[in-house]
Amino acid sequence: MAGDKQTFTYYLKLLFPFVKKDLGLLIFGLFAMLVTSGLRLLNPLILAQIIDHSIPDKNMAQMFQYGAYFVIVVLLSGLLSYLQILLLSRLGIKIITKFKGNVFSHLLKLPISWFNKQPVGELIARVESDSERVKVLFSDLSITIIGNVLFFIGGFVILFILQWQITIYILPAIILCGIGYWFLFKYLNKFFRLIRERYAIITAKITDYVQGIQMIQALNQETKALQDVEKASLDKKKVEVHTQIIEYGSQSIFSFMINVVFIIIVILISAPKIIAGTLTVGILIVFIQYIYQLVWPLMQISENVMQIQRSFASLKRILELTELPTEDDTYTGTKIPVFEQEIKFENVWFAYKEGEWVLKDISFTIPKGKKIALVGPSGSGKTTTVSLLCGFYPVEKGKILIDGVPLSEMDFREWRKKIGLILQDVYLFPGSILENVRVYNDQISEDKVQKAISIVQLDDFIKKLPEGINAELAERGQNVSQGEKQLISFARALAFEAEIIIMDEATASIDPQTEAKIQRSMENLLSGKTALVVAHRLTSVLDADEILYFSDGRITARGKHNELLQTSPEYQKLVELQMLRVQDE
Amino acid sequence: MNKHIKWILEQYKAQKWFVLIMVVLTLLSSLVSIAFPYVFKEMLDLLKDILQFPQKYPEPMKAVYRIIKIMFAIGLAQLVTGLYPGIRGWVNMRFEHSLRVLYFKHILTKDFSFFQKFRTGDIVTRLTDDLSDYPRVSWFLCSGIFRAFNSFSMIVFALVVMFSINVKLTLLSIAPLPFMMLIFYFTADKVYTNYNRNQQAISAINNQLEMSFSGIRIVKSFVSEEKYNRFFDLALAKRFKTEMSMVKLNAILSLIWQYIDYIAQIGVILFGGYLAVKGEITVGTFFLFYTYLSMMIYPLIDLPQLFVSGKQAFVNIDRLEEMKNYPTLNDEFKGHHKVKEFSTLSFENVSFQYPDKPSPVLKNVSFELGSGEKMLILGATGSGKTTIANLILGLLKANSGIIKINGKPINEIDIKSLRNIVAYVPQEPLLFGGSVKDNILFAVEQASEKDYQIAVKTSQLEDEIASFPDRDNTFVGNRGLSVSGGQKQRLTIARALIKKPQLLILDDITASLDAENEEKLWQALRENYPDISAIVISHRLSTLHYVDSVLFIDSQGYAHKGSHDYLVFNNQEYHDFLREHLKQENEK
Repeated sequence: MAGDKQTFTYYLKLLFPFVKKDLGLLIFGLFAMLVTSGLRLLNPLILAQIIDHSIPDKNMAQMFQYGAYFVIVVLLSGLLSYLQILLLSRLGIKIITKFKGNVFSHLLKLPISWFNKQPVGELIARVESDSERVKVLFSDLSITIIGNVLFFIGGFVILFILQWQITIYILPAIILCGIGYWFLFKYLNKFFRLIRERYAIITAKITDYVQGIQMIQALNQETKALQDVEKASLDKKKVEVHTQIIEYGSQSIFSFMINVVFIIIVILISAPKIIAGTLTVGILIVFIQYIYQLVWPLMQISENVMQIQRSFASLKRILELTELPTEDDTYTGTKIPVFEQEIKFENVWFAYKEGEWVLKDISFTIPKGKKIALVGPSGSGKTTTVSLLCGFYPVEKGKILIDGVPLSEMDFREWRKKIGLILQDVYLFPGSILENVRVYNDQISEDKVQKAISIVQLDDFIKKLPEGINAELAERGQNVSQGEKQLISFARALAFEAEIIIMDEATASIDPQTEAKIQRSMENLLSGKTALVVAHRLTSVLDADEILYFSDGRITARGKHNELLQTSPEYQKLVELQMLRVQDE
Repeated sequence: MNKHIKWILEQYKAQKWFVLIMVVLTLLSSLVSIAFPYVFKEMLDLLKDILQFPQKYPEPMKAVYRIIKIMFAIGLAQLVTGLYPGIRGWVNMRFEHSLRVLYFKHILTKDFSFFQKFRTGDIVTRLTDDLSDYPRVSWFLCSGIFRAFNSFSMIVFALVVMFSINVKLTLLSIAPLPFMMLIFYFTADKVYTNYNRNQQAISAINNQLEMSFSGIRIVKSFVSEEKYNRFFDLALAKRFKTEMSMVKLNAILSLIWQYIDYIAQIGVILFGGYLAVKGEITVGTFFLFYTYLSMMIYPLIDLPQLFVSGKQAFVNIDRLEEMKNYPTLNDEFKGHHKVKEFSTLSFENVSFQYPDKPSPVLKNVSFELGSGEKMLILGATGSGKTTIANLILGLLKANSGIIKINGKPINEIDIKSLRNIVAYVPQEPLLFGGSVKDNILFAVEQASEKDYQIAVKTSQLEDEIASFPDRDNTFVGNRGLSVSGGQKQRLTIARALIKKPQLLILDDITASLDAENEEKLWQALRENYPDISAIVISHRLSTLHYVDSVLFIDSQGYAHKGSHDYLVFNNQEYHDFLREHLKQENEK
């Protein structure tokens, strides 16, 4: 039990900085709750007065006077409760919005290696629905719990004053119930976490399958996908049902104790006293009323604490995300990169997984302004080399030097600003073409974007669209062909005016006509710039200043095209397969 | 309203025994709730009576004990009905599960245009968020409706008792009810529109999230993390606004209910007190009416909640039905003729235009493909090559012209049987969560070890898989992120080959399969799948080595078929197309 209390204060401490800013809302809300609880206690007392005095005394005037008191109490409490709902809900929503924003910006800073391991669907489930759970903590829960606790304390004090003999019997019983509840919650906590996890799995699976539905249809495996989702849904259901039955079953027992047993005990004790004349009916009614009104909040408190447990389970999940080490933690370099001479890979070894080297002793130089091509069979380490140069993974063995300064000592963001990355898998975001080209960076003017689009000769394509540059792209660019997608990702690098262009097999799947377009404009762009191109098509690499042939993680041949044709049989073979022998040309 | 009620009744029919149990338990629960205060009234009147006429009761405690015994019995009944909310929760879950499976099943039948309209994040939200928890659909179907039923029956039972005691007092107590309903009706619609807006905002945020994480490399390499954050902040701010307006409306609503019930209570105190002072009703009755009115506050507030949460649930139902009812192509492909073998494929004057594009991407395309023939499709970017593949698979429907398989028009064919013999390898390889083996075997129910090995070998995966840490049990993350593009592509090839297809469609695998591996692939295909027919879409001219014929789609959308040599001599645009490509090579 001590462990729980510690976690409770730990969470409160975590939330406090968010609450601090709107402390006024919180304080006023709490004040309103205090007054409302107090008012709730008055009603039964007024009633008791009527029953004990006005009715037996047949005092009509007095009865109406008490009635008037009742009206005032009611009006005030209604108004205050409206205010408290509004204020505290606002606080809750404000906090959760800030919270989500923080979490999200933290996630964006996490290293690429982390993203490789996460299914996107699960991420969404976490941030969105878990945040909602935490929100409930503020708006509904705190209002109810604190209000009920206040009422509880106040009610007990009054009962004690009225008839301590009876109160003494009830007090230990209620405390016992409280302890019983507590243990129940601990037990149920594990289940709540499990339910949220299973829910996240369902979301991930559905996301996965919906993204690839056309493929599923083409493969005729709709049933398989359906069964998989069904199973995931069933798994969640089983745990939830089990949890619910325990929750409500135990609530029912407690309710019986308090609603029936306690009241019967009270009657048994007070009946003789009433008959003897030492106790009035009115006070009995106050007892009954209070117990009735104490019961409901007690039930609610247990339900609410269960909800808090659930919220904390969600909070914990979210916190786990914000505690992950970011790129800033991994890349601690601070130097401003200067690139005037060369980029050098010096005996670089790299492995994604311990012991499985993907790059083995890679050394090469990219002089400024030169174009280097990486060729070789797929899986030989070309893409990894590119990722390392982008600073996506830390280099543990060997060094990457920029003008003699190790990349690890540099401010990684400043370095990335120098790079224009064009990936094979073109990522298009929902939004307009304009925003896709400048990746939402509004510091890049629309003119720059227009210019970039012209260079890649997408003008015709844009003109055909009614909204032009502001035309919306469907999710993952389904209304744009593969080639056009490539051109857009190309325009990105141009718009950002990168010094170093890195292309990963980008031009491989564009037809020769479109590629010809790009080749022409690329020549203009690349003059004066440095380029690293990973290619499968030799046509895009033939005017490289140096070609590096990668095989199984090593560079096994290097040189200009003609040199390699003569010295490397592997390279020869690659070229042969790419060139077509046509008799008449 | 009508269609929603119909929908609800349909769901109930599917779970009719549970619904019946719920009805019985609900009534029992209400009965028990009402009985207890009534017995307490008897107790109060008894005590007063004992005080007033002690001579009637030689042993007063005996009478007290008698009533206490009745209280205890009702208490025990309450113990049983206390399980009622738990069972309600159970049935909620049943509904949630069956609805999710039902709608997902419908999604699986949708076509290309559906996924253009509905983004993934949106669809996922509708199948998860919209269904689960309070106050969404599955909660509403059981708890929502039955809690209301519980409240309603409790109110009815209470009224019956009250009327039988004193008509005047009862009427006064229930007077506020019609006012309440009227006020509610006006505010309810406002709540409805607000809720819809809120749901849309949630879906939008989910979309944004998903998109950002998928394209994280781009965001990072262009150092746009800060800027990207801005967009999310905007979406959240919008959501904040919508939620606050919801809160305000709900708060006003609850305020209204509270006051109206307090007014009723005040009515009882004043009028009941008046009657009690005059001696027309007993103290016990006075307290009973007061108790019943207090008990009715919660159910009375709950009852209109049914309509509020109903409206909210109806929005969810609409969103689900909207997806289900969206027309799908697959309804049009209702042919019965089953295809077992592939002998010919023919396109006769087929034209196709995407609804959002200004001109058709295919115009009067005609060609034939025979058994065992391998055909290469060449053409400029965006020229409809993938469209042809989709048309063959029945994922798209031609605007005009006929597509025939083995001489039969495609709409007479059982499309599932066609998809069994045709294997499609898409341009962008898509893997599902699971191991390497799971992914390869995804396309079939089961495959012999031999077939599996052949597929793996042919796709040039043997060495790769051997090098994976867990071999073919290695887990490949969402979209197969932990493997290289080339490896992903080869996995999808293996997935296609394990079906032992008769027609293989390779949609531009050049992006992730280098020339050397492509050569090996074709060799292996020739060896292991000798009679296979193939349609290859490629930008790599070396592919010409491996095919029998070429289909060239020009910039207008017209198609020309022939052998490579034939086309070079007879089609100027083809000639130029190749020349562009070769020109670059010769210039070096």
